[in-house]
Amino acid sequence: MVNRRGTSLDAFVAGLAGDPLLEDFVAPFPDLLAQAGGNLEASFAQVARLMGRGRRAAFIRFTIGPAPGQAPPEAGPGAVRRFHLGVTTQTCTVIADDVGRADLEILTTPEVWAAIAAGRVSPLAAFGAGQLRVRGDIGLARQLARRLRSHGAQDGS
Amino acid sequence: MADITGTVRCIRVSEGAGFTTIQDAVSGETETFILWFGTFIPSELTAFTRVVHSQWVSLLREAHTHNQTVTVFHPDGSAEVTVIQVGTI
Repeated sequence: MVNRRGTSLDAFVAGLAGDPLLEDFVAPFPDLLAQAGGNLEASFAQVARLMGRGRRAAFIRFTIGPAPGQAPPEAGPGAVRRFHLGVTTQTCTVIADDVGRADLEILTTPEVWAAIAAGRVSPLAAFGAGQLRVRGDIGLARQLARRLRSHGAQDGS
Repeated sequence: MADITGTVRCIRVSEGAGFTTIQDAVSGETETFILWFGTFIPSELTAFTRVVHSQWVSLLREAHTHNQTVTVFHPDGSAEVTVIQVGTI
C-alpha cells in the first residue's frame, strides 16, 4: 500500500519502531505458515507452541472470517472460524471449546492471517491498513508478538 | 458499519498515529480503534480531516474526564474510526 505522497505503509510502520507501545508489532513474524506446513489451521497450533507458558492464565481467540460485505456461509471454506488458545502458567494449547469472553481476540480474514503468519505483513501494518481488529488485553498481544518473533526465529534458523 | 458504545479507557496521540480504547458498556470487553494512522487512515488527509481528528480527541477527552458514554462507529472488519458520538440525538 502506498499513500498519495509515495510513502509505503511498510516504510511508515517501520518508522514506528521506536514507539514503546507499538514496537512489538512493527516487524513481520518469521514464516510460521511454512513451519506449519502451509496449513492455516495448523498455524494456530504453531502459535500456541511458540507462545508457551504465560505470566497468568488467559484465553486468546482468533476469529477468522470473510471480508466485510461478503456473506459468510454457515460451513465450508468461507465460514467464520474461531480458534482458541488456552494459556496457563505452564503451557499454551489449542482448545476446542469456545471460552466465552476472551482476554484477547484477533479478528481478521483468512487472507490477512495467512499474510501475517507467513511473515509477508506485520501485525501493525495489517491493523493500520484497517484489515484487522484487536479486542482485549494489548499487553497480552505484545507478549504473544514477542514470543512468536523470538521463538519463531529460533525455529526457522 | 459497526459500532461500540462504552467508556473511554485510553486516548493515545502521536504525530504518526492516534488510537483510542473503548470498554463496551454491556460486555465489558475493550477494543482499540484507530483515529489516524500516518496518511493511510484516513486515505485522504486534509486540513479539514485534521480538524475532525482534533474534535474527536476533544470529545474523547471530555467523555474520559466525566466518565460519559461514547459511541464509536467503524467499518465491519476494521478498527478505523469514522464517527464519534457523545450523548444521543
